[in-house]
Amino acid sequence: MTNDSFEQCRQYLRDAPLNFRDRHPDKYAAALGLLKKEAVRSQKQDDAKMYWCFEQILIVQNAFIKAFFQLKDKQYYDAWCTLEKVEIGLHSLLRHHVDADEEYHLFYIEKHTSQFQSLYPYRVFMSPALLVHEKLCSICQQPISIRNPCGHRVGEIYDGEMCGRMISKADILEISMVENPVQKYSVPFLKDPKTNETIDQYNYALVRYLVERLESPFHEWRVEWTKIRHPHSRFLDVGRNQPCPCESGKKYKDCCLRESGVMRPHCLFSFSVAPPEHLNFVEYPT
Amino acid sequence: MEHNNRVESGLIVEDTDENFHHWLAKAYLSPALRTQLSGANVLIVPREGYADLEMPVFPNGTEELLSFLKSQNERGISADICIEDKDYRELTLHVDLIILGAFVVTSILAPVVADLIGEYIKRRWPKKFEDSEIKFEITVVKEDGSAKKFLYEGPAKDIEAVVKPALKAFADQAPRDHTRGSRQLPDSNDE
Repeated sequence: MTNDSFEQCRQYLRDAPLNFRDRHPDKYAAALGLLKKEAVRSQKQDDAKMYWCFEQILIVQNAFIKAFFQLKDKQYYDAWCTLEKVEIGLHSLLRHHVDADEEYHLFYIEKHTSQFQSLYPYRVFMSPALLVHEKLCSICQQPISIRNPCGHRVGEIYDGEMCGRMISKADILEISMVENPVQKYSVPFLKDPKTNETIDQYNYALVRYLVERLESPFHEWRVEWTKIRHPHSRFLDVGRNQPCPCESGKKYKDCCLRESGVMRPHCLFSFSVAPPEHLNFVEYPT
Repeated sequence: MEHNNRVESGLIVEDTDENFHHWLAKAYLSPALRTQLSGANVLIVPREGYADLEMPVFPNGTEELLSFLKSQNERGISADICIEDKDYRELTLHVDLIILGAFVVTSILAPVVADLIGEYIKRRWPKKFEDSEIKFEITVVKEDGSAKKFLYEGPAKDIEAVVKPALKAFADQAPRDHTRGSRQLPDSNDE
């Protein structure tokens, strides 16, 4: 393994917006793994840490690209989970690697991961509370002692691996419904009582609308939330004396029915690359 | 004797009798550990009675926080934790809120501890500091053993502006001629 092959890995990561359709990450993961192994063998800890960072960049980029194609395939929950992996990977990585020149598109990925997540309809999550009796250090496998710690610090890199904690004995105390979970994957779904099959009850219209108009995960886009008046023709099922659909708390007849339309949230997308021509149409009558 | 007094958004100040003496009297501490803890001027203390648990518990990550505080000797910090090693248990609440738990500190060190909490969060979650929400309690103990508890839940970046001035104001009322506060080993009948 030579410096040339490392430079090839770096170039591959720089070129993610060009090679995202035809990635061969295993080849580069193997190359970086070999470089790291050699650095560990030579006790070059700084080099081993650097190769770990590039492994993480590869993982983050791959996950982001994978999430994009999952969204394209309408696998919305799977994409949600993959985006969470991007978030976790970035959290681990950015503590050790600052991509100041945006050489590997990490800021772009971080920003757009958050934007994708903001379009999801998930608002409430399941959250278990654990009573942890024993944790092990992922580096030395020793049980964690509060008074006699093993010395390995969580999040640091040792021999090219990040130190973490592995829960080895725990009880689940309760499961709560929360709005801001640590684990975003814990989305509650309905089940069909007859077949016991999972039902995805969520409306993914926003994220679907966006992704249909993107041809690349690296085509920049922005989302802006505002409010506009929507035509009354969309609220024909709301009676005059019922609560106004704008959620003001007033009756419809005393609120937006007096106006040109109902004031509702409006999502405005901006694209750096124009969406395909055939998708440029007005979806609703105005 | 407790009453609540909301000083600033996210910060509640209470009178409390949960000073060092209160914690050193806990039955789950051995005499040897009690002696050891009497030398601490920053004591991480557990949460008791959570979800009817008999055992005291600490928030997830307390191990890292203790390690950080123990590395701050040069700033006058002598940190310890109010539990036997074998009894240490963590409670992991899966909410995206940084829960640091509870501390008992001597009054003169209270502002330093506020600074250290901010530094710890910046170091541990460097990318999240600006938009992190945190929760902790600091009980500040005067030389005569009287104490106030400062409960904070809010943005991490507001510690400097909200928590530290409140701690400092209370600390400035305390005598300045020592760094350890008034602690003595509890009587045996306290157990």
